[in-house]
Amino acid sequence: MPSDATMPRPRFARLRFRPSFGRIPASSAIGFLLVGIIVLATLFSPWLTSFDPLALGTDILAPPDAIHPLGTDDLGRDLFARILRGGRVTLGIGLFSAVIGVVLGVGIGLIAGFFGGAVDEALMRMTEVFLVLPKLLVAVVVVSLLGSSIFNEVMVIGLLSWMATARIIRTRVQIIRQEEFIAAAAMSGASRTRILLRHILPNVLPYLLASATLQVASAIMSESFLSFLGLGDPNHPSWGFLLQQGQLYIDQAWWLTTFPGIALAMTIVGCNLIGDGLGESRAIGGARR
Amino acid sequence: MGRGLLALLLRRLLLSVPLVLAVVTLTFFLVRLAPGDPAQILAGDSPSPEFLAQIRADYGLDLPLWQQFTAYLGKALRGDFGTSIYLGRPVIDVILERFPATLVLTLAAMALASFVGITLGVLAAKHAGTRLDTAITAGSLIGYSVPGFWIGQLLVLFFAVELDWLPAGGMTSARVTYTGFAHVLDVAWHLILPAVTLAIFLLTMIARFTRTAMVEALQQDFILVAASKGVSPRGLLWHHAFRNAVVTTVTVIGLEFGAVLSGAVVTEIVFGWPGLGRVFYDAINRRDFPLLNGAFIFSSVVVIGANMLSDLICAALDPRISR
Amino acid sequence: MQGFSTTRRGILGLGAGLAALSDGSVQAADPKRIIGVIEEDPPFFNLAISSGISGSVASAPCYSALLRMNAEGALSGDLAERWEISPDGLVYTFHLRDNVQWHDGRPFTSADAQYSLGELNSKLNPYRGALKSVDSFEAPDPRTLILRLKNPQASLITSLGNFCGAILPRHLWEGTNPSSNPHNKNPIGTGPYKFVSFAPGDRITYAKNPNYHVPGRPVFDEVIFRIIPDPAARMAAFTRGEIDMVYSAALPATEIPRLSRTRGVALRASRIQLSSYMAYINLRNAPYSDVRVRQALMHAIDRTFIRNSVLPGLAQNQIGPLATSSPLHNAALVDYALDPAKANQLLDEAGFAKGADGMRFPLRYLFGAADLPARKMGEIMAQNLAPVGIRVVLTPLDRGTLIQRAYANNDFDMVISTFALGPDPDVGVERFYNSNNILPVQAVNNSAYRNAEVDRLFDEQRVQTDPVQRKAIYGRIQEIVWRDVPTMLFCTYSLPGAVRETFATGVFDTVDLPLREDFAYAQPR
Repeated sequence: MPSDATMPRPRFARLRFRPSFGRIPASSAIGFLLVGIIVLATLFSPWLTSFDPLALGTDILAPPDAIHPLGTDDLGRDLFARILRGGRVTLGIGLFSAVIGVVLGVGIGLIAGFFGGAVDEALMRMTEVFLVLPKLLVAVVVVSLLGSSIFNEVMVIGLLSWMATARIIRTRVQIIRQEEFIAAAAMSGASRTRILLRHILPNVLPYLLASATLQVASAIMSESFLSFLGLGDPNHPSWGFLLQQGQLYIDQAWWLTTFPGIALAMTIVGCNLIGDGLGESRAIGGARR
Repeated sequence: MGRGLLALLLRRLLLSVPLVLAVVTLTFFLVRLAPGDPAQILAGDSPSPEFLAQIRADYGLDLPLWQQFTAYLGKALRGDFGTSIYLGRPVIDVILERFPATLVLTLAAMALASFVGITLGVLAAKHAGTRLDTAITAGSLIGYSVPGFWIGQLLVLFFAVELDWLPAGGMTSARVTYTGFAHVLDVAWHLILPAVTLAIFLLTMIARFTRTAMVEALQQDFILVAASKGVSPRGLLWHHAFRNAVVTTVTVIGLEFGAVLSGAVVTEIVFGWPGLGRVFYDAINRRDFPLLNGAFIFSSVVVIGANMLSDLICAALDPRISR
Repeated sequence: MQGFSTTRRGILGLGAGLAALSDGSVQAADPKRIIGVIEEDPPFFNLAISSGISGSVASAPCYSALLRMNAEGALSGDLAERWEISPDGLVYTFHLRDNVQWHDGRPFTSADAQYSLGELNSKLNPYRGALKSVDSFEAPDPRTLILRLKNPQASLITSLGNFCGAILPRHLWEGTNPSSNPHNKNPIGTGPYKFVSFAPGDRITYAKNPNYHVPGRPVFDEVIFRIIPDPAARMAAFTRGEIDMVYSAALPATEIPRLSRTRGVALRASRIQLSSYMAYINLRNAPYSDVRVRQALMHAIDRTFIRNSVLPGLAQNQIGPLATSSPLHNAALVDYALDPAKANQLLDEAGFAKGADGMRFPLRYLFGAADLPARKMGEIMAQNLAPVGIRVVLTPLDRGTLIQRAYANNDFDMVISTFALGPDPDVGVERFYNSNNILPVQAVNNSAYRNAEVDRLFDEQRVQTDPVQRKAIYGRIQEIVWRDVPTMLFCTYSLPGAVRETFATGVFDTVDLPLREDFAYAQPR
């Protein structure tokens, strides 16, 4: 998938250290603030603007003014309303594809780490194949194949972003397996499934929160890349879609790319800050035992 | 290089053979499942049926899929990757022709990202907790969070269109043909904006990981030992800790090589850079199956190679890492 | 050399100087180049067998036709010095120039023209329909070509100067497989420029043909087409002066207002040839098989808003299948009024009641993912049609999927594209409405429109030599098609090409720009 997408951080588990953003004061708090503002704005958009994001207008390519705070686009639609509506699409795509990626990753990682042996070997080889494929191009092929819709975008981004989580979880599971309480549970007659779900899963969950948040960020980025390549869903314009539509006006109507771009960057920065904050507190609490 | 390293290399090489085979199979069927007839794309509007049939026959597109696959596999094992349907030249020629442009772009971006990224990372680590650290960290976070194609377009708008300092796209001047050293300068001139665009993402990654690695390294025992032996703080920072940071950087580049290639696709589109990324992308739109298969194989081999190379470099630099 | 900063020139000059010193040679004066741009790698450099726009543009500098057409549509000789048409309209005699050479040095003769028209254009050209009334192509002597017709065909002469007349060398084509002949990628013609090289994704280079048959032409030493797929990148390069000319299909309509205000840039549009933004409506399935539903669409869609916002200042209202500027246009046709109430009434009459959500049925609107005007038209249409109970599903598809889904599988309700209407409706318009042209390929009668009267009238007008009679027949055809609405005719338009007139003149003056723009008359300012 696009550059920043999906896998980077968790794979650094191999490096035996965690990245951090250093001591930005209360970085998580800033992240929550940024994302919170965006989420609230998109949820309460009807109170923030009276414009219909789809309604056509005769005021074409109007710069920001008192009526249209962020200007209008090439069909006279209010950009502020479009960004608010687009936020729902973008955040939805980010959230759902992250969920798919995390669920798949956890499932595969748990199974590989817990059962080991041939199962592990097969799953890890499959993970490698997915890691080696050029994700952006595979995504382009698949979306071309199935058509541009937010559902397809969510599926393809999710299906191409589970590998990092799977590897991380597998490693954690392998460590936890050795711990005494697992042996104790096995001794007391707990079934393998029960051990997996009741004892191991709860112990890897804290690791997921951070990587899930980061995956939301990278899924949003991936969606913008697909939109840039003309694969966005025009029935549900996301921020990436708005950014792409504004491209041809980049020197005539700066607002058409600037504001969707800022919204996109703000959200990704926010998610990264939250994810890093979570990762750090977890790293201190857990990883260095 | 010890024998351990050689064994590692051999093992990785052997493991990558089934990996490439899996990629070949997967992508062969993936691209052919996509709707779309390369013959119609090639022929354009209102083609005559005979002409379409002729094109399909020329490229064996009229055979059953499994037959096409076995034929392809057989030829590919002998090094024949077929002929591009759209461009009408051998796939291998097209790829080798366009690879240098991508290589120049990615190497330039990686060099720039490493240099600036390590410098910023070391600075941030040295001044950990200060405003400089915060500024670098925040800056790299923002650079990491803005879509690359948008950055590229803003750079073109500002440096090419408004200021008129740099060319807006392409790899060489069309107005005048330069030769020899002037040609090199001409390419370098065209390379600046795309390389910067592509470097930004990698740069922020390297800066962040270098910072983390440096902060960690500076607390480790060998640093304390060196300090107690009277090595100067400057020497400490650059010599000992830096060695660790290089491992980080090489690992980041190795692991992110696939992402860099993806970024190159987008950068090449924004800047009209005649590299492989665009060949891949165009091949998808043209349903140029042989070229697309070749491209998938090539890119996975490159990614595997880059991962291997970075593991080797790391192993050579840091004996503690072995896998 | 506009657009080059002094710093850069300085550095490069220094570099060139160093290079000259190091290999002990002095560089020759830079050749005079004119630089164009093209939006994709051309699939063929062959005007006789393919009409893809990029291929047509890229091959035009290399080829000549029998005739040449100027911006007003007037014909003059090109490879033919002069020509005669017999009074009964059945025999065309062309007297060919005797000073013409192929780029490989062989002389051009009537055998080349006979072969190109009779074997390539009439069999493989997408507009081959234009040649179907020709019974035989004869070459009685090396300088004479005779076409004998089965029946008179008024449009033949314009077609020869236009879509369907490229002349290829017989000695390189005869007996070869036309789809895999290497000269598809390495064209040998008689045109003003010789093909030099094609670097996919980068550029195509042509050099002056010193033996061109028009004395003193061409003037530029080299023509270069850069290949820049991204529209924003293309326009940035043009704005910087890295490129001298952008032909119409490569020029985004959104840039035209800005360019029209830019000093030194001339916008040139063909004055007689128009294109049409047209969507096929799939008549195979309900509800669109019902003519009332299609008429309701015409009443509900705000085509005026579409013209004004999507192609401001560039589009004309299209009333009927022919452009209103066509000499054969039926001026008596009445436009469908924008009247949502009437649309609702028609839909009710057709028996498609609104559901609980206010919707009657969906409309799957297919368009090319890169086709920005088509997307905007769809967005407008979605807004227009929601109040009458039709839910538009915007379906952008890449070219391969679009061809497969719309044209091969006919899985669509509406599919939009842009089509050249041609200088004569026999070539440009009949293909969409004659039921003998319902084929699983693009740019034919993809609506599956069948009207026996229309079919018969097309046949009748083809043999009609009296222009007044022909216009009357065409008038009736337009009336029926306009009533039946097999296609949604959004508008006709003519996009201009842009050229830096401070740099060059004589560019984009041909009528069917860009298909036959060979740059023979381009010259530096």
